[in-house]
Amino acid sequence: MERTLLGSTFLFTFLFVSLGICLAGIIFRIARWFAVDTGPEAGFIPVKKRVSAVLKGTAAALFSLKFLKIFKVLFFDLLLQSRILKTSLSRWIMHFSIFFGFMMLLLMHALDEIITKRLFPGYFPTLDPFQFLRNLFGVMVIVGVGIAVYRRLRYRGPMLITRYTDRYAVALLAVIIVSGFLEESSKMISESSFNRMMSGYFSACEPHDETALKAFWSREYGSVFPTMKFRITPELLARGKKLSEESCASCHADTRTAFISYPAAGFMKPFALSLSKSRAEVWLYYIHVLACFIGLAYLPFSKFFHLITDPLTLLVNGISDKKKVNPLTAMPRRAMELDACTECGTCSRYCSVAPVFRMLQNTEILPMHKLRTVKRLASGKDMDSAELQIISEGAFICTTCFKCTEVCPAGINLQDQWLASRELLSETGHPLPHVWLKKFNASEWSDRMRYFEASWKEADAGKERYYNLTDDSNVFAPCIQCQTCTNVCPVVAARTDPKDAVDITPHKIMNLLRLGLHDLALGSRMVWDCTTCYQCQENCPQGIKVTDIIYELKNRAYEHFKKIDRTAEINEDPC
Amino acid sequence: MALPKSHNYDPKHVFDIMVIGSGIAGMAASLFSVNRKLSTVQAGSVGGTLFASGLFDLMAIHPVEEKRVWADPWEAIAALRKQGSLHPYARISDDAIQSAFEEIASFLSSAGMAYRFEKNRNLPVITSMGTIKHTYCVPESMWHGVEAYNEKAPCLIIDFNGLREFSGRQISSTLREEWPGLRAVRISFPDTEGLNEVHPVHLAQALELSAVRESLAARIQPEIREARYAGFPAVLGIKKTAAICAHLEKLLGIPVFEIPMMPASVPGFRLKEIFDSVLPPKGLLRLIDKRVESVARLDNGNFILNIGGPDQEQFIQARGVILATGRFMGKGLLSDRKGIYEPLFHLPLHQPESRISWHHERFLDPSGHPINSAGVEVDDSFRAVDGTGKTIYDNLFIAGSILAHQDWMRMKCGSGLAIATAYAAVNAFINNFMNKSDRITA
Repeated sequence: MERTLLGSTFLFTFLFVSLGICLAGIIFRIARWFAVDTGPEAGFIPVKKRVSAVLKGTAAALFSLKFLKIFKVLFFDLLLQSRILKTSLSRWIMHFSIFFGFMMLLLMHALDEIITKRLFPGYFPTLDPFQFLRNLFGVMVIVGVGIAVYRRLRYRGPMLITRYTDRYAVALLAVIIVSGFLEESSKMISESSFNRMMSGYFSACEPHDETALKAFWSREYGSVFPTMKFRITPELLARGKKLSEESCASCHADTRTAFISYPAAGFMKPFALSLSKSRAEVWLYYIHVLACFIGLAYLPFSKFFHLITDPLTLLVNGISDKKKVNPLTAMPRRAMELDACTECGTCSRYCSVAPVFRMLQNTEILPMHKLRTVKRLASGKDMDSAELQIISEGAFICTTCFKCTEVCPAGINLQDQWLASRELLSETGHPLPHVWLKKFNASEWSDRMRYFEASWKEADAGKERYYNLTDDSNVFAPCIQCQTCTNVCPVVAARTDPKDAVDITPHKIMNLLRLGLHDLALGSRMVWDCTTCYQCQENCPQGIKVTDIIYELKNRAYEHFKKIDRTAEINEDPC
Repeated sequence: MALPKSHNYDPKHVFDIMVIGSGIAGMAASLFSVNRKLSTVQAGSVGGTLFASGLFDLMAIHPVEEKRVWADPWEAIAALRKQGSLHPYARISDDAIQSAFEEIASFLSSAGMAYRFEKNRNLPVITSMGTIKHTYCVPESMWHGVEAYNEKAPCLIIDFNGLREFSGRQISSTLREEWPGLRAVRISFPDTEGLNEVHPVHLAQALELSAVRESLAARIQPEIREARYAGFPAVLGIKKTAAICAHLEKLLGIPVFEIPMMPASVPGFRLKEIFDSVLPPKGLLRLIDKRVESVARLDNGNFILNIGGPDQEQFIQARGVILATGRFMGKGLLSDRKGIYEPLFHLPLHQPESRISWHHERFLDPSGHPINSAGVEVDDSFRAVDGTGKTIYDNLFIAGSILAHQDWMRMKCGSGLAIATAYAAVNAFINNFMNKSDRITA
């Protein structure tokens, strides 16, 4: 084969450089799993210990009964991708087409020298079934990529985000497959390729044999000979057929079985001369091969890295107990899982608290976005208090219902990620709302509000939701301070420690509202300790909606206080 | 008399009587109705009886401008009648009032809250302010207080750290001159050390446990010394008051009694508990926290009552209505710039000419204020009448404090008025209406 355009040395150099980058990248990214700090154990476990724990764990898993589980994971989760099928048939068709088509092309076609030739001694890429299968697998990839593109054009929104990595991945796949098809087609119609083959594998016995062969190939196999003028007769074709069977058939099947490239070649026929002259088939070959090499080098830094991380994650989480987390191996596993996420959005679509997102519009509620944030947190990005507050809100709205972990196609233990990142958030001063709201008492909050609200913009104030009860004095004005609400309140009754005592009891809250001291009512512990048992409301002789009011105050307080800096010192004279 | 559940809200189902109001008058009317086998339905807010002190007054002061206290309530009522007063008592016989009290007392006694009264005598009861209140009928748990006061026996008043509106020291210092044997002590209620506030219902709930009572008694024991009675704020349990008093008496070795507190107090909760839990099994359909929004009258005379509330509206048909919605606090009467009005039936009211004459110049005027005697005027069957004395509806009966020509707060006749007029209204409904054969029945 003489493709002297750039030379095989160039190709081999390119291949080895790509392979080098790929391997180095993979090693670098895997090594990072052991260095990244995630979760509450962060910083306490040295890297050495993490490595040895992972090695020990791997060895223990391989030499135990869990070994059988590995086969189950390999067959169902990896080969059949049953976890995707569980949630969506169309997505499974998409992913399986790309995965299976591309893998078969890789094994049968790209690595034919190493694999196919050894398995099938009579292998030639232009023989059937290989020629047919190559087209079939190519079509599978194209169909899968087509569905992927359609999905991303069709669905826009927080459940499916298209980033550059997604675009690059899809584009690269498309370039590789399309250039492959085009190269095959252009070769079919290329006169120079035909001549080269003929000069290598054919010797004419009779003067018209060459013409006969060309006539047969141009009629049957779609070859084009723009410089030749000959009249096709049945005799000539019969002769050509015989010659083709003798000289070509051992390596060339009917080109029609290349069911994509053959019709494509038909479309290219009008341009056959110029294509042949410009040696298009060679250029396309370079595009095809170099695109593959670039893909190889890009793999560790692209979405394709999930080819490595997802099987590993599925295996690790498939055989380990998700509810019993080993603190030594937890950190490398979590880091690996962060790399395994392909942002497919399945978790967000199944999230139990996703409806809350529709109300609050905080994307940190959605697991897909949350995991990205966990990644940013793990990488040690500096975030300001306001940003952490938004993240904390999302993190603690999660009910840890386990649903996302159940559906994640990559098998990520999301539950553990949430619990770990929550502890991290709590450590940075952003715990559960009722914890940080108790940092100050009612009057301290009231001072803080006065101090900070002055600096708020008009626009922020306008965003507050409309409140029905606490804004309407008719709601609490009938209160006669009979204390029935306080008397029946089990929260007031249950307090025993004066330190944690309810500071402002329900009837006092009603009185604060009547006095217009809403700010003081907001920071009251009663508001935060209320269990909404409705005893007060059911017993109020004046029919005041005490519980509903307290619940509304809770919401108002949270909305106000989350905007207030809890760490800043305020030096205001309270008088 | 169990009611078919499916008929509860069917407007075609005809109840005998609908009681509107859930205070003492409404509750008494419901009790008298179910005791007389009338199919009864009652609507009203949840806490009508919460403000009751637990004491049942009959009549203690008359005339109010003189603040004359009567030792015998019947004599006070007789004086009313003799002077030609329009007070509702003037329309009821002593026997009827006495029977009404007996029926209520026996009901409460059977429900676990026994009462004591003496036939012709008002009883002196110590209040949380240290004043003496004259009342007719006292709960058993307060009885020893009456005895102790009469004897002026050495007595210990116990109060608790953090309990507002009750001070043993105030009581003892107010009564020091007439009762030198009174001594006050303040202790911490078990498990409330350090709290700056405790609430009576929570203490009452805690005392339902014998361990708490033992712990409390141990704290009081060293303080008893010469005392022969022990007085507590009215927090001795909610459902087992009699047993709790008996247990404390055994532990302390001396009789104990309760002192009524400011409303809403624990005895009010006890009454509410009893009415809420005992009346429905006797056949009362109680629409809790439901208000009657509007009323219409059918051609046959039956009332259709539109019941509102948190749920969607429903309709009740009843052959008669007892209106016991109280005055302003119970929202039986409302006011605007022109005067006061009755919002449900728009009944004509006895009331001062204009707002300017509602009140006297002085807030504490000894004769009270004209607005405190405003209300619905009735005939001898407790049916509402208009200005000319004509009955408005033959099946609408009025009971309780919404009635005109009485100032129950100053006359100390509130509970008696509620109970007696409810009794009279129910009986009038049966005698003048139910027994008439020309009325269409269900």
